[in-house]
Amino acid sequence: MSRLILISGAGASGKSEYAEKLAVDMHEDRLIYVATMSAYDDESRKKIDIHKKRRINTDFETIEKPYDIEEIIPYIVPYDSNKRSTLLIECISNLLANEMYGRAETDGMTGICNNSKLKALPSQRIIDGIKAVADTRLADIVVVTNEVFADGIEYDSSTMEYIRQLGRINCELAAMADSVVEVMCGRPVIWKGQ
Amino acid sequence: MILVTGGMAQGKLDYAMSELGVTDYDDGVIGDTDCIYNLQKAVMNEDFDSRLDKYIILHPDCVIICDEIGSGIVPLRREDREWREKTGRVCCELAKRADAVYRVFCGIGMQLK
Repeated sequence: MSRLILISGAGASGKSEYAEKLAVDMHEDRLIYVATMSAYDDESRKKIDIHKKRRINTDFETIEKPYDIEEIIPYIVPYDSNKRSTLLIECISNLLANEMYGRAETDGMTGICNNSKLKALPSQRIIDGIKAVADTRLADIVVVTNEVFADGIEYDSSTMEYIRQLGRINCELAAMADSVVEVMCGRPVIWKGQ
Repeated sequence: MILVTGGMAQGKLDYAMSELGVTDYDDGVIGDTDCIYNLQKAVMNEDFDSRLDKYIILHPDCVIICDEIGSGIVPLRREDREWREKTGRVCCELAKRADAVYRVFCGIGMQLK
């Protein structure tokens, strides 16, 4: 059975470095970075460059997939059929923002979809997509998500909906996962598994 | 009394229902069921402290669920700062008094006390 590990933490908590190191240590076959951020401005390009530089001199291959995460399946087959690839999917908060606001089929303001092909909620599409990837057993998966739930601020309704859907994804992925880790100051707090 | 805390949308109510035996609850108010959900919505109400105190005496086996709301920038508006401060302090006091305290994260509970 392939393994699913969920990594969460606040902004700049060191969760990416932790997840990258974990994926590097785990991998026995292909090591694949699934990048979900689409470069739409200088700030995102800068962030992408920092993450890219960190992966220089590592075995990471990169797949860019801002939405429809299940479409990576044909590209993650391990070289050795007795082994599994290791995926690092970074990160769910970008994936959800892209699913809600970044695609032609959805309303860029509300994140609501008006295309019958995308009937399911954005959160459900991501949960189903990651489950589909896990079910192939082609890869062990490290998923990075984000902690944005405890500032007590009442944002606009679209943002509140985004936060609720992200919370739902985190709960569902945690239920599926073999391990759940919260990273604080670069240190892991183990919530499930080991 | 059991206190359950954690960020919004983390599955605190589901956790309380599946793991702590909660069947019925009052949302955002001090009511007469054995569970208060969204306590943070009630903390600025009139006579909150004395009413909560009475509630806990009448419901010694209650489960109180409160959002963690302090992990952001200090709010600009005074009312928001007072609400945030009050909620945090209420949770600290409840945690002292509680038989058990849980923090829920991604639907998983961690016992802090």
